Amino acid sequence: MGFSVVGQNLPRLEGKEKVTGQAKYIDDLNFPNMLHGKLLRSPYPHARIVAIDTAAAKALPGVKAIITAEDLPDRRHGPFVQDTPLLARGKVNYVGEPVAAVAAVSLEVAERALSLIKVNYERLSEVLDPLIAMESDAPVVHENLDAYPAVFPVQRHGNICSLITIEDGDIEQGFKTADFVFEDTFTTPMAHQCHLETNGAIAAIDAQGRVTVWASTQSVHLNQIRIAETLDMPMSKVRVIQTRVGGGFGAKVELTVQPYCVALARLSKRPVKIILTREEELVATRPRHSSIVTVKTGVKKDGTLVARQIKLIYDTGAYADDGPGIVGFGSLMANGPYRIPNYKIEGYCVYTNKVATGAYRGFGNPQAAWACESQLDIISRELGIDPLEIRLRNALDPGDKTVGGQNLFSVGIKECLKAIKEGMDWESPKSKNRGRGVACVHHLSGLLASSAYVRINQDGTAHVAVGAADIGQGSDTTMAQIAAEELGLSIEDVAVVSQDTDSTPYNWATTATRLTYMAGNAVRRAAADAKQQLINLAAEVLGLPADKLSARNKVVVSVDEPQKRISYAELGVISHWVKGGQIIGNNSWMFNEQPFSIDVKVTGFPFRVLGAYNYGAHAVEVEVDHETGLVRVVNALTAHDVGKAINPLSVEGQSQGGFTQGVGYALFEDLKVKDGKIISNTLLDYKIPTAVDVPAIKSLIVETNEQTGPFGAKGIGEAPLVPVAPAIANAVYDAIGVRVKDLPLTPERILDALKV
Amino acid sequence: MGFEYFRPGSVEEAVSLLFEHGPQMNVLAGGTDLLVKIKHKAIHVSKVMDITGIDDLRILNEDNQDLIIGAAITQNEIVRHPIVAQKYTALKEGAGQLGSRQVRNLATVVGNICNASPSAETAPALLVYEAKVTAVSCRDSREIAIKDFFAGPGKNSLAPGELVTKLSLPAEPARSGSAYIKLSPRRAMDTAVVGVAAYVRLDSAGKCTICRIAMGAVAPTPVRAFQAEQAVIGAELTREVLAEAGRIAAEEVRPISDIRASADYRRQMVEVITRRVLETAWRRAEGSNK
Repeated sequence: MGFSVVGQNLPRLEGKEKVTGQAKYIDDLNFPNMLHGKLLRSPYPHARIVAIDTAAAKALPGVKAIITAEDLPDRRHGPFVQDTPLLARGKVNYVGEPVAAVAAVSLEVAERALSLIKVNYERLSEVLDPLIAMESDAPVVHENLDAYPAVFPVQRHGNICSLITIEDGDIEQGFKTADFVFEDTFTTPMAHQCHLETNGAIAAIDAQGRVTVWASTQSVHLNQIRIAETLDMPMSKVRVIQTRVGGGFGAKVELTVQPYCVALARLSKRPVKIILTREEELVATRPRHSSIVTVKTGVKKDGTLVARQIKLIYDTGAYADDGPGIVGFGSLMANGPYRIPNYKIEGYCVYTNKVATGAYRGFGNPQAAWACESQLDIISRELGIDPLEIRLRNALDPGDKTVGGQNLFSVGIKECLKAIKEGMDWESPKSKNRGRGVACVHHLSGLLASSAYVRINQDGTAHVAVGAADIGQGSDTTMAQIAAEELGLSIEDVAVVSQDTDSTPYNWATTATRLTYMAGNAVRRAAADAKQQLINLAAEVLGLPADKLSARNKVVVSVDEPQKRISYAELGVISHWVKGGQIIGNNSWMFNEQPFSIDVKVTGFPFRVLGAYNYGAHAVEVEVDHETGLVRVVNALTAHDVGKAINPLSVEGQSQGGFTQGVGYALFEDLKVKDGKIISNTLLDYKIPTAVDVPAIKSLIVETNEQTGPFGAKGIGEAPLVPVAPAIANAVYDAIGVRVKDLPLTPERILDALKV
Repeated sequence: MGFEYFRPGSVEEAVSLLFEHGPQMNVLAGGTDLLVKIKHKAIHVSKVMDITGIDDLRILNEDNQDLIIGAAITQNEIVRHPIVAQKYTALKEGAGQLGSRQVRNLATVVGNICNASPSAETAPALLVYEAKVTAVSCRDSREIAIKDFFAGPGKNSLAPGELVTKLSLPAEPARSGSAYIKLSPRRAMDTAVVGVAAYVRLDSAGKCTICRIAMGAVAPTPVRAFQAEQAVIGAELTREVLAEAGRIAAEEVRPISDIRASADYRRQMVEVITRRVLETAWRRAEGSNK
């Protein structure tokens, strides 16, 4: 089927605005009489708040509002478990937890006011290690755990925030039939999203008492709901508008500074802006969970996987946030894109007195993939099977069932593996100290609801309103392409409405690799609805049956008598001035496949519906300096099954961006904690890769035409980060024969492994 | 929270401002260290004197065959200078690995040493060339040997009221060579875990007559490895000599463990990097016909 707009390498709609510096980010906005807000944060990992004295701070000239927990509704919030107070109530649970918020006429005055707030703390013994936290006599992070409402059937006790189990087949029998059983434990550190624009928002109240919040966010809708919930306001009184976003990677899904801006604006009756500093981002926002993952795998001599038992322990820090979702998702993804008949997966989400962790590109999958894709490499080398070959032997096919039993339609993992094998010239000779590694990924495109409407303007062009927050990944362009293709318009004829809860319909968020697939489906269906209305109107005007008409190139035309035709522009005028009123197509959409088949034993799982699976495989070549332990990635090849690339240029961009973040996760990134405090608090000590640390990345696209996706599309966003670390570690093994099981692969760890 | 800003047009004006305002006056050249400290509130600054408007500090040339580097000369000016590329390779390699290109467009060589970070990228090179630092005050002017310039982490040996105006690097005869290697996990915009520079001069028979080795990030200040140098002087280039120099250098250092690396790793790397940088300098000396 030939497409005219879909599949084109179109530049970003907002590209010129960004490269010429005209894009307005949150810190570019300022309002008359605007105040600047700052947060007072806990210096201790665990302490009782005995008293807070704000009198001296309130007396400081220029200070317009100060809030503590006492000034806010007594309620806790959280996407899965409602355990988090906006401001610490009774005690603090991590270094950096907000205790009070100040709004003042300048940042300097606000900062000075913070220093004048006296908080009397009584230190409590803290628990920082998740393994210790799981012991029965450990200090307890949340004494009233059972009182916290949860949005799913949570299993919890002590410091275990949630426990998820997924089991199928007969694990004991599976291990009995195996020729070999491998067991290994792998760890990963906390890692930060490092979106280049830090979190920020502005809140202002109008004369009706209605709040408008401008925010750097991944979802205006989720922001609106959460602000309303946490501050006891009806959603009708909360409007959220998205500014241009300089990256999010999961960090801007849930609230960060928005509710403090709103509470301070309500109290001071003036607009309030809060922008986090980089240090605040690194020490007190929600990084990726650190993990300890133990994998036991039973395998036949020929490399066939027959049984697997996995225990995942993810440290969620002081609050659940997305933790139960992340552990649930990591558990679901842990087996990788392979057929494994017998398995038991247990995922533990554990509280400690460290910064609350949260969503970051991959959502629990990178930790699981680090363990399982590293171990598959160990197995292949032990059995003397090529690491790429063992993956091909076990890879899923269309029609297979994945973990849990959901039916799979399009499955391109084997095509991805074949593409990198050929592209990398996998079996060619290597120079000294060089090695090659491979790793695979599967990931979901989906979750929850999306909606869109499409209105046909009087001149036959279209406005598309869809809850799809473009955070730099290019979804506005993708949505415009989908709408243009379905409507028979060119890309210039389609405007994508900016994210504003007053005008764009509901979408859960820019997460879960879901916009192209979920919002794209809503857009395509809404556009199809509008197109049908155009055809129906044309049928009336032309006096022909609607099923004998087709709509393309801005014209509705008779299938049998092509001279009988009417342009969209003419139909636009008729609909606006003569008959029917403006044509508006709409659609709301959710994925509706059952996630689990009845023979799978599942407990504590946090999602009700999932989505379509996308697949990928990466191959890398590294050079290792065996004297210094430095690893350099010299060659990188990615292949991703995205169903259909709506905009191949964007798919390549996502592949390269994800790979680059993966290099950081593999080699450098480590949010180090000392005495409960994050000490990697600058971008000098929290190292993300620079351009010279990453080779030219060749990105291949595999298209498998997903029958449930818009024009066959699935998604790409998160997957490219996931296999990078194990691919690099596997290549390091290939180069120098040492296996490192802890991320990041620092020079010291490599040298230590060489010494053993 | 602002500061008072001064922009003198001559060295005389600058040193009299320093005298008049005393230690409250902060000297700004590239600002890549000073402004970061102000932003991070590591220091409180009330007065800043920008010296980039002083023409006399913009000198970069050979004077009686010495290389003169004025206090306002940036790292990228050093990197791009043909004489530096030809004769002072270690300095080019140090300057070229400092920060990012944007930082190197602002940061000065003199500022790098005045900031006196133990890991300063240009310090090991300046140590192996035995550079002289010219410090000027209202009263007089003096030359400080670079090895005496560093007083501790973030501390230099300038007296109150003194301004560094220039560096002088002695002329380089034929059959000499130098090199600098910076070891850092990230290949740009990173702090050296270990940085080592070496300088070698050979006689006509290929024996080493002068050897100097200097190291960054392994002691409270950038330091020379005097004992390792002794093991090389008089020797011919062999695997054993290089290895021995590395071993001795590793014994000479006093590294610490910090967020970037452990003391053990640093010590081990001194051995490896000293060996490698010495070999590179030696090969360059053999190939030089200056």
